Amino acid sequence: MATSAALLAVIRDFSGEAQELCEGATRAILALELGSEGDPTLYDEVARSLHTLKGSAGTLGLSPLSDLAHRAEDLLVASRRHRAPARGDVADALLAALDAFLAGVRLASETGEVPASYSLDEVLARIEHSRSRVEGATPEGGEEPVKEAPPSARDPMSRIAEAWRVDTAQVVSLMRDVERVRELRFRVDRRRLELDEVAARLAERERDDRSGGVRHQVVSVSRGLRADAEEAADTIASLEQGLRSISTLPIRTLLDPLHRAVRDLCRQTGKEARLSVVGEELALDRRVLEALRGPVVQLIRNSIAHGVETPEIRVGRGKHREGAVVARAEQVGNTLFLTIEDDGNGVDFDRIRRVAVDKSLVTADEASRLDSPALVRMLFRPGFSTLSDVSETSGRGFGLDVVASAVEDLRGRVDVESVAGQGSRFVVTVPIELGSSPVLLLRAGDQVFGLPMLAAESGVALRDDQVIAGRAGARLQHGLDVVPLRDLGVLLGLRQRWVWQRGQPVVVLRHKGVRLALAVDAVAGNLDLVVRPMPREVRDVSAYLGAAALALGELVLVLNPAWVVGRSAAADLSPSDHGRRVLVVDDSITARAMYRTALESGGWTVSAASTAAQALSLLAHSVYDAVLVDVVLGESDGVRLTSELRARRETRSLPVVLVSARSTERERGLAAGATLFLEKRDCTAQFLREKLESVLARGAA
Amino acid sequence: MSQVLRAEDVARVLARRAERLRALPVTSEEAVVWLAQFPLADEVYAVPLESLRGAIPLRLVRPVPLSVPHVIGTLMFQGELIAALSLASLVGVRGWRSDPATLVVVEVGSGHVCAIDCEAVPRPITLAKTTFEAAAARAAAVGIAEVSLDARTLIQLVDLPKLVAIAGGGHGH
Repeated sequence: MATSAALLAVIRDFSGEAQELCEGATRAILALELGSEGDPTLYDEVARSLHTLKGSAGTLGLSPLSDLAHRAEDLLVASRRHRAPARGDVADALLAALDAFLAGVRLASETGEVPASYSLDEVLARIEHSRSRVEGATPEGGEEPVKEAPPSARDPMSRIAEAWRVDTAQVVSLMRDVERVRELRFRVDRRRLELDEVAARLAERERDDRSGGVRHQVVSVSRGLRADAEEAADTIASLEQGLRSISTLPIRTLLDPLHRAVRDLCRQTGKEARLSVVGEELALDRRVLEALRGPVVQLIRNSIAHGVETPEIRVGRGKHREGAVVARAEQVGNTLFLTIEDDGNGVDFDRIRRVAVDKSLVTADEASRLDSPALVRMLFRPGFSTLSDVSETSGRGFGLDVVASAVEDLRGRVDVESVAGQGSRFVVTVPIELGSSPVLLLRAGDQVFGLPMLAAESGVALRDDQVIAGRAGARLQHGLDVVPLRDLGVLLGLRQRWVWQRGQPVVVLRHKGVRLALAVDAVAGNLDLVVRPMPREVRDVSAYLGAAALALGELVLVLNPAWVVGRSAAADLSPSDHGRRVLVVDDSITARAMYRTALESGGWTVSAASTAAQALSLLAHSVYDAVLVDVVLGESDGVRLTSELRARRETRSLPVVLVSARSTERERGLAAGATLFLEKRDCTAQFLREKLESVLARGAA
Repeated sequence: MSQVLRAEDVARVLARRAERLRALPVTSEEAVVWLAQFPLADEVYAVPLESLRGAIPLRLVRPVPLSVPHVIGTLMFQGELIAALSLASLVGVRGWRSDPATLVVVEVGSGHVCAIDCEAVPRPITLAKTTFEAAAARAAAVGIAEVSLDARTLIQLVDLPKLVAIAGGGHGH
């Protein structure tokens, strides 16, 4: 039978409705099974869903599915009439019927009918078996018939006008356009400021030549631009909100089905576990949700298969016989943290060592030296499993590999925490590329960084009496609290140490209940920015959530509050006293990368400055063993900087190595007081290291 | 006095010309691979031309503190954040004449794009396909392979993903 395009469209639409109905019915069946069988509304919900599925499938000519829903309805009615709890094999049969129904609708949405090859015999036999058992076991008085929803309200034909099918690519394209318009708006703002500057200059001239007409015109244009920019901002916000509602779904749609997965896995493994879900109302990009479905199901399977113990073992360990599995979703800025944790066995690190040695991945000696993070990484290797037997649920060793690969595709990462005997926590961190979020702009040295506004609690100007020195680093007296005080530049390795300045801006940030006072050089305002995930090559640098473009295309790295707070937990954040330190002063970003590569591989700690002023500022606060200066230094001059260093008492004896592409600068450089002059063409990694060593040796002699 | 061309002469000339034309392009298309070559220090490096996505001036690159040394920074390229890597750092710092000021944007597989620095805008060259394949196999193992372009010119064929893997992409801060 040829299927009309219209009917096919209706069946596809019905597929979405069937999914929702089946999910609702599944939730109700699971609740009944977990002990709410006394609640008649749950029976009603399942019955209504089955009835609607039956009616809609019949309307669309999908008679095998209509019949299936009808038989499931019969089982439910029998269960209710005979007061047989809808758990165990009754629940199994009902859930299997819902699964089979959905699979059938999906097949039909391709061809317009249920294929003849799609057999429902097994599931029908299962339903029939359960119904016979229920009816044979406890014949009892009847119940009132289940109320049915009005058929017209559920008619799939009526749904056509309710929703449009939109290609995902079209929505994504719209989202990109909105992001670009937002960036364009920043540029308009910038132009307006430039125009204001022109108006100010004209005002100065006006005093002399009284040409007020032009200035008034410029001011008028600037005001117009401001009004336009504000209107554009409103429109963009409205567009973003609209797009969010189209392109997002509550994370509940991902987490809810996990109740069923936990229940089925427990049935298969003889374990008992209860899943709690936190943060289910968080709305997420549908694509991210879809991509996360597989990894999350796998992590849940892992929690049951590897984590949660059997009831007997749990009771023996003094735990509740029912394991606790928690799925928690949390959004910070444009980053999603999805945590799956259990209170089971925890990761067995000794077992990982043994398996790694058995599989010849490492030697016994190497295995004994592997730390916890390295051992956890083993778990993500394809084919690596600590289970000796392959079962239906686990043991092949590809589960976590699949998780890692799927999360990598989303430009995210997986972190694992575990305590033996107490449980494990898998944290999936993925960027959410959707719209903009408020970001606080902070300056450290000559660089501007962003901090998600959500993490910023308050801001203060530093007073001397607020700083408390201690062995674990400085602390800030903030109201009645004392919080760790850290300098952003030092945390990021931009400078070695910092002398607290009176009036210096401090941002108090909070992440997961932990507070930190972050001293910066300036607070440069706040903006709604589109934070994009970092490129793959720097994704392991956990200091950043991503980067965002400002008005003229300049990029701002957006800090990861979890990293900032985590770094403050390090006992001693003062610069290390071992190792040699060199300050590289070069205005070329590529040359600085080369110096770093050459010198860090030789054990040097490299700090960098791109201007003479920045170098002098760093030298004022930090101690270096040597300075390596490019002769051509943008607006300044490396030779002049050398003279200045020689003129200052504190840097008079500091070894200064001048580097240039031209040998003609040698005499001038040495005359200015350079300890050594090198030509760039000679600067191989080894040559550079040897020369710096020789300079230090000369100084020591 | 003008020379009269006979029909058979014309036919012969045209046949020769057609033969020559048939021979040239077909041979070159089948036997060569196009590369993008660019200078860095005293060497000439090359990547397959089909992987080249652009050559842009080195500006608006944002340094990424705490990244590995061979990462110059990150930049926006066609609406996407990409990493800029120091080729000199990846192959081992061997001295340089002028600070690299150009970025070559290349696709390194599965649509992933990154940029490497060099001293001038790349130029297209061709390399015999068999020579290229042998060099590419060597580069896939060690990240870089030396190839003779002609009697006087040596180029270094770059396998960027391998070079990055050797240098170590992760950091762990």
